[in-house]
Amino acid sequence: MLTRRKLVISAVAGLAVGEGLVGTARADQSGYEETYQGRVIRLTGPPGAPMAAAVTIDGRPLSLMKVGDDAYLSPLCHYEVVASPLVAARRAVEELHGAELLTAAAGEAR
Amino acid sequence: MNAATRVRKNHLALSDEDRRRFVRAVLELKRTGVYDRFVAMHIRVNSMDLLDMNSGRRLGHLSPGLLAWHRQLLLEFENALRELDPGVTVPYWDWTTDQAPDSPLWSGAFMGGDGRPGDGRVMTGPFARDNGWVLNLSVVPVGGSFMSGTYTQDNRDFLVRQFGRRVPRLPTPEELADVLVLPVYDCPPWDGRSGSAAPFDSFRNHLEGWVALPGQPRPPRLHNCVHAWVGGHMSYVGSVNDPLFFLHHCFLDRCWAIWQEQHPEVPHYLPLADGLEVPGLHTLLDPWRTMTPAELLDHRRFYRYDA
Repeated sequence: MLTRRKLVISAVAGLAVGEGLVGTARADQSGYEETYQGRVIRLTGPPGAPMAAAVTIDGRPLSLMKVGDDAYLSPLCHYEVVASPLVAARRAVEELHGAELLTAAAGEAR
Repeated sequence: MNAATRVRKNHLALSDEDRRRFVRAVLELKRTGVYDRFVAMHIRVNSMDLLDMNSGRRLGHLSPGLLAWHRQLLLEFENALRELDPGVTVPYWDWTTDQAPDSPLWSGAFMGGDGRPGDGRVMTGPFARDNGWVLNLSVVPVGGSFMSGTYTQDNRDFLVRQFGRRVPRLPTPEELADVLVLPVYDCPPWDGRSGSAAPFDSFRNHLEGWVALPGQPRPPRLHNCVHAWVGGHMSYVGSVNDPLFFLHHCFLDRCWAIWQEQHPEVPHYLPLADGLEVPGLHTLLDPWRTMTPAELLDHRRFYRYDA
């Protein structure tokens, strides 16, 4: 499990090699936020959560699955792992072409 | 079931009439809501499987259960089709050889083609939104895993494909042959790491495609590569929304049968033990709880392949 501090570091490290990044990014103690292709990606790392990070895109949760060290799947990238929650979030933005995640509605029943 | 007359064919061997009847039965299942129950079931099982692979149960993905669980899924789907038309079976797509852009697979009378530039929306064939194939966006929250009760992952109600956008090419016959020679069905830790190092004791994981053999391109391989190459919904948790899913998994099912023929002396399913986080040989498979991997091992009880 990533600690909050580690999460911020890995998110910023991912930023340095990011492609096509447009807009702003900022990191603080509560997490990391960037605007990518016009969508707001936010990563938070609540201690004790079952997953490494909570990720939202425009405020809607992206369900993230950690399947190994530096290996994540999301509902929009499901048969191929990516290296970090931030990469998974950017990938989801690229796949969505402006669409909204549906998990917000399901999230109420969590 | 009459296995003698239940023959699954390469879609290239189908007549125009065969194709028409398959598509008609699929559309009828969609109209009555049965198709979307398969979509929801696959999403529910995927979500459970992938939520926490280190402590969670894994039924049909990242698990030896992959081939047994999908064999039953295809059987249940095919049974539903055959209630509507007893002459229909699920065809298979041999993606190692059938890679031409003008394959009959992608014709407007069968699966339809690639998505349009930009958003990848499928515009041709019976599964284009404009021709009436509408993805179910409703969410019926039920307990358990985080995506229970969803039919797809976002608010697009049209099918998306983006051929070759994420991975440049489909698997080759040689790449499949290299996996079919692996003599051990699966090994601990029974997940996406199984068989990653010599002696590569996981036929299942190399076929599923989370790991690569030496000298091969990096994952996604084989099964996963095909999902990723087609792109769009086939690469999402809601992959069953694309009926191509069934042709892809029918070929995967045939790969398991071919592997069994090539390795008659080894256990055709592992683990033998019950009570692990993955199905054992004699574990009833959820959600049906009617058959075990042992009962699913020999496909000839249920159907034959044409070749």
